[in-house]
Amino acid sequence: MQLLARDRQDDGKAGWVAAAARCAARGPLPLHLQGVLAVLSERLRAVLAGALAAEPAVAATIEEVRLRAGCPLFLRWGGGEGAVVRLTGGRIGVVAAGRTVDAETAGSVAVSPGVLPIGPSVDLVRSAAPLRAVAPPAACAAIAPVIVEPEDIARTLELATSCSLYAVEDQLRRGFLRVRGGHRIGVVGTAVTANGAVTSLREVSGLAIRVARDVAGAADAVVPFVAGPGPEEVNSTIVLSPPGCGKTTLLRDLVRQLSRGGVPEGFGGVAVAVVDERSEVGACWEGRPQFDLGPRTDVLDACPKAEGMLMVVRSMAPRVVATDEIGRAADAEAVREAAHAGVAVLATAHARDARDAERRPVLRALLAAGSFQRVVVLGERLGRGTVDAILDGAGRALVRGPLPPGGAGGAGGCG
Amino acid sequence: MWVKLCGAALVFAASTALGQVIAGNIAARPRHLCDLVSALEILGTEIAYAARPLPQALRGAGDGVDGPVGTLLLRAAELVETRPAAVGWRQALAESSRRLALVQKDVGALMALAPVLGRSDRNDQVRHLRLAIERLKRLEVEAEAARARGEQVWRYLGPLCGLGAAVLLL
Repeated sequence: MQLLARDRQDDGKAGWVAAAARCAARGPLPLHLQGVLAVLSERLRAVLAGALAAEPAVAATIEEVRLRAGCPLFLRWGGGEGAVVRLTGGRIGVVAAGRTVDAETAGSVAVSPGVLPIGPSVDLVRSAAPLRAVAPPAACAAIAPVIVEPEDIARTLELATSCSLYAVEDQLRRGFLRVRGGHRIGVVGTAVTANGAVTSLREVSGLAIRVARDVAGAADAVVPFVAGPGPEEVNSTIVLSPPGCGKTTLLRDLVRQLSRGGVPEGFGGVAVAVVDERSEVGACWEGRPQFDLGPRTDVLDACPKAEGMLMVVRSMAPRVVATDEIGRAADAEAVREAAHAGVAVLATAHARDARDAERRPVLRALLAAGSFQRVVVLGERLGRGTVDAILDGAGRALVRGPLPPGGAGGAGGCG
Repeated sequence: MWVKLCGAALVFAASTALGQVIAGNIAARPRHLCDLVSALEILGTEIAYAARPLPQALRGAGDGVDGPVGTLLLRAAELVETRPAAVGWRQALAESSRRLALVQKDVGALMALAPVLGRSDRNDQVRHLRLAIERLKRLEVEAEAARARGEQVWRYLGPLCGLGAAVLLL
């Protein structure tokens, strides 16, 4: 942990250590992590709970838990990834993967018993063999990665679906499951097809649990450019970034702040309708959003975006329609329709930056037509949720980043 | 003499009660099988049309029928929340077997569902439930025939045997 923490500080990612310490001081695991643990098989649950307790730094910024049959249990956290290992004496630790530290130098570095640097490649961790040769010999007499068994995957799948694969048929067909708390589980296995279309998956061999985290204040830097200047005026905004940079987290906080009003000064709050096709923004469970989306927000859950946007514009008379990850031609059509109806649109899309977005036909057409008055580009330079730039509809920069992530976000918030 | 009379009365009463219990079991089996059939029908509907998760679906089916069959399903609903469906279903069956007047074959038909419950898509679930229902219906016909033959016999056989034994003892 010390090693990891120092790296982060060297990269200018301050605040991270303090956040980790806060997490550790808080005692029991934060709620969103308990939700993740609840869907893991009993064996892996104990292992991961041990690993997170041993590594508060990892627990504070964990983004993904990966289960692959026959491979070690992998974690991805803010800026790193590694395997969960069993150390001497049955303790659990995390080995950061992909770092080159040879045995001599590692021996002289203060290595906490939890995180051991190994290198040079992930393959070393992948092989089930003990890592004795790679890690400093004194620190780890016998380190064995915790291997995910096929039974773990079967049981995790059962827990994630409450023993009811039939109830999640439609989700499974698209390759992912939603679980309570808004976490998303990507699923791979052998696809079963009928007439060329995927009907279901069998022999599931891998699961990727993406940890959903609600960060209040993630949109603080962005809100002044999106809301106002009038008490009910909102600029249509698109958020661009590569996967995993905090688009959805930003959108969620943006929705909440617009719905609540009060920021910026004189902005009264407006009715927001969220079309939540993948149930990531509101994380609805049994019909109710699990995340606070503000007092003037209506959520249309699990509805296809294009159809849903038109539905809510007609039925709920919102001032703002928000949706996650647009990209198909039908989505663009719906955005234009909404704009014609005088409704502002908040959307996100996968793209590295504004120039990359220009290369995609659907996004280019939308940007060229002036459908969005604001373009927010997110990156990872100062941690997850860094605002790289805010542009206006014509591509002029209003803000040049990088601005640090808002709230307790990329800096490693626990909530 | 009084002691002898008392003993004979006790023998008679015990034998009568035994006959009643056996006759009761024979009479209860078709009733329980019938309840099971309707419970599984409800379960099939919950799965096929509402796509409700297994614990809720089992609870719905359990609420739909009274008596020990309802208890069985409610117990299964409770168990599958904390353990694999197959284990939960088997355990619920084992726990309720004393209250249910079922024979080995009937339990076997229900056990056959254990590895299947919740583990495939809707069509497949419904197909398996259908199979189990058909098996249970056949067993119900058989049980009904056994009841027609056996119930009255045991009701009379109990007291008669008791009487015979009492006479011999006196």
